[in-house]
Amino acid sequence: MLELIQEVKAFIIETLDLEDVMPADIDDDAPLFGDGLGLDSIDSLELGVGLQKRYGLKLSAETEETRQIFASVRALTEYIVAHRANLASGQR
Amino acid sequence: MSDILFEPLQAHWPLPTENAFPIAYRDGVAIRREQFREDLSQARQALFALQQPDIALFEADAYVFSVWLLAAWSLCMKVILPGEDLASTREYLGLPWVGRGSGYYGHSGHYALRDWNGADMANAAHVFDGATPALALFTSGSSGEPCLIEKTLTQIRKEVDALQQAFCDPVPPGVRFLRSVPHQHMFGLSFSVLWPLSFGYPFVTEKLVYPEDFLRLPAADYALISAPTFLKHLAASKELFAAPPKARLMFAISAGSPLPADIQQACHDFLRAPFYDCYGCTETSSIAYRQSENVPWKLFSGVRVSVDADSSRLRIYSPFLAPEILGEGFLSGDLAQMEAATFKLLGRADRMVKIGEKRFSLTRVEQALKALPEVEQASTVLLSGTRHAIGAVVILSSSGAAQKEKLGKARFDRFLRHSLADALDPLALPRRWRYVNAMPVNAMGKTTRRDLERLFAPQVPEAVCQMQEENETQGRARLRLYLDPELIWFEGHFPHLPVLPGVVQVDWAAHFGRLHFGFTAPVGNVSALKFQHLLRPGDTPCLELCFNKDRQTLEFSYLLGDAPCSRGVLHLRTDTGA
Repeated sequence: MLELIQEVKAFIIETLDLEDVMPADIDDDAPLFGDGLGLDSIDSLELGVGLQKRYGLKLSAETEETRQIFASVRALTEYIVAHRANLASGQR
Repeated sequence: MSDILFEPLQAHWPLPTENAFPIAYRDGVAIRREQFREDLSQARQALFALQQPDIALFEADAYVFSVWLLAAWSLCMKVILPGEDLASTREYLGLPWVGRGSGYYGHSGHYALRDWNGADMANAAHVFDGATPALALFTSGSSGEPCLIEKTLTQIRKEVDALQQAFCDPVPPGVRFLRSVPHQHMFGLSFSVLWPLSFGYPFVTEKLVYPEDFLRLPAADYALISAPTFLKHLAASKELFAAPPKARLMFAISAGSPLPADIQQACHDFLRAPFYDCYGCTETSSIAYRQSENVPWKLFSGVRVSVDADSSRLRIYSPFLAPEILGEGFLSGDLAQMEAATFKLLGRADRMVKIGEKRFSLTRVEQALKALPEVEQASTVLLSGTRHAIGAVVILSSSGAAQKEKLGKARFDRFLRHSLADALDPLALPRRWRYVNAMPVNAMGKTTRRDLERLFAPQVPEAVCQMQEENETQGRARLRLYLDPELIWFEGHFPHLPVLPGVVQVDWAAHFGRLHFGFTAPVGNVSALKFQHLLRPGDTPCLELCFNKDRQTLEFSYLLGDAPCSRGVLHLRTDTGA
């Protein structure tokens, strides 16, 4: 989980081309939008598309669920883990 | 709509009477016209209880939005549509705030009327005068201050009628209107809400945010009101999805910024529907459209244009203009030249920039920056790259410099962004920052755009991570780099033989090590350094990294094909006092 958090941070930095930001600068529990990392609506679109490509996640528009997934790096990572677990159990 | 409550509105805003189609779809479920009538009546009561002539409306759900809008109009209330849900906007307007706001990116507010719970209503006997402004929307003025543009019902209605006239052929009955643009702005409002509402086409209440949203739609005929940013992603998603979308697209209309021909073509190849590009602005509404970048603009019915001899700016005469400027026309901020009976655009005349189809004034961003106690002087520039973003070049005040020293650059950048969040739209917040002691000036003492852009030249190469693995004792990664000739390090090193300095190679190794292995300690010293082969502009070397967690060392090597270029070992400082 810790390594995945690290990977997700690097993924966010690379996908959004965040300049001068290192994983250590991103708090695990700070919100990605608004206060916290302060991403905007274009970022949300780029991130959604990136998550689809990299992790196979399908996010829907501005739903409560998407809001919760983008609540923090930790929430996003947990969602990826849960998504993988779902896939694994679905294949059995 | 035979309800007697709406007679005053009906005179200026005829709604279709009998219609077999639902008014809207939410999540694929139909919202019937009877429901709409009931909700309108409830909303009228709630609005009437406010006893206010004007309201501010911000509501993301297009159905709820249209209920509030028509209810307010039927009570002769003027509706102000803020483009953003910011605390400063609410304060500035000081009006009852109706609707649920943006929720996602915005602030929760005070005195918001969120639901239409039935309120007692006396006999409200208003008659809407079609010539009185019924709507006001924000635009960003070239002076830097956003200004409100007022519209009468007559103006708006003429525009909507012109849309139906221009596009009625491709619109079969029952086609569902989709949008990926906000209806808080003129384009989204008239195209994706008022047009379908007025001519009996159902609309989908949710805004499309991701291409997946389109691919998930239930099978039906759709019309898409969109903008280039979304269409770019939609076209690119063709490869991502195995199954074609169930939705049948009849046509799409894009506005906000010019729709590039390649995106238009890619969208057409994917969805087999005409993609129209529309031109206009808040003041004029949409005035022209075309089906490809290569054909001339076609003016909407009743619209005329000319080019102002002095300023070379486009002047627009249209029935959708405010009554007081119908005669003289509207002088736009776009440079243009006449071509046959129509026009060709030549770029913006002022300092407005577009990001994600929204217009922003760089002047206003600079004003907001200079108002911060940490900032002495600021200049901004629009940067293109993977996306358009504003870059800020800032001279800090002494308190700002102290703060930056304390937080480090990344956190200080973010701190400034947060400080501006109440004053600017999230998209207008500078994304890239440079702190300087003096603004770059040319021989004439002017700071040019080019000088500012130069400060943002890339410092780190583009990298594709080809392999990354990590266990308890060590982490390994292999990256493919692209040495863009624009990289700042090639400048002057050396004038006739640009090569990548060794010290930069060491710095990049540390940079990508931090990115991929998350260590924070600074580099203490470097050993076993060896430079065997030069790295030149345009090269695509591999960077191999091995991080030893116990020893806190990072081994790096650059390779071109199989040939080693350089290598070394970085030793991190383990005393944490650093």
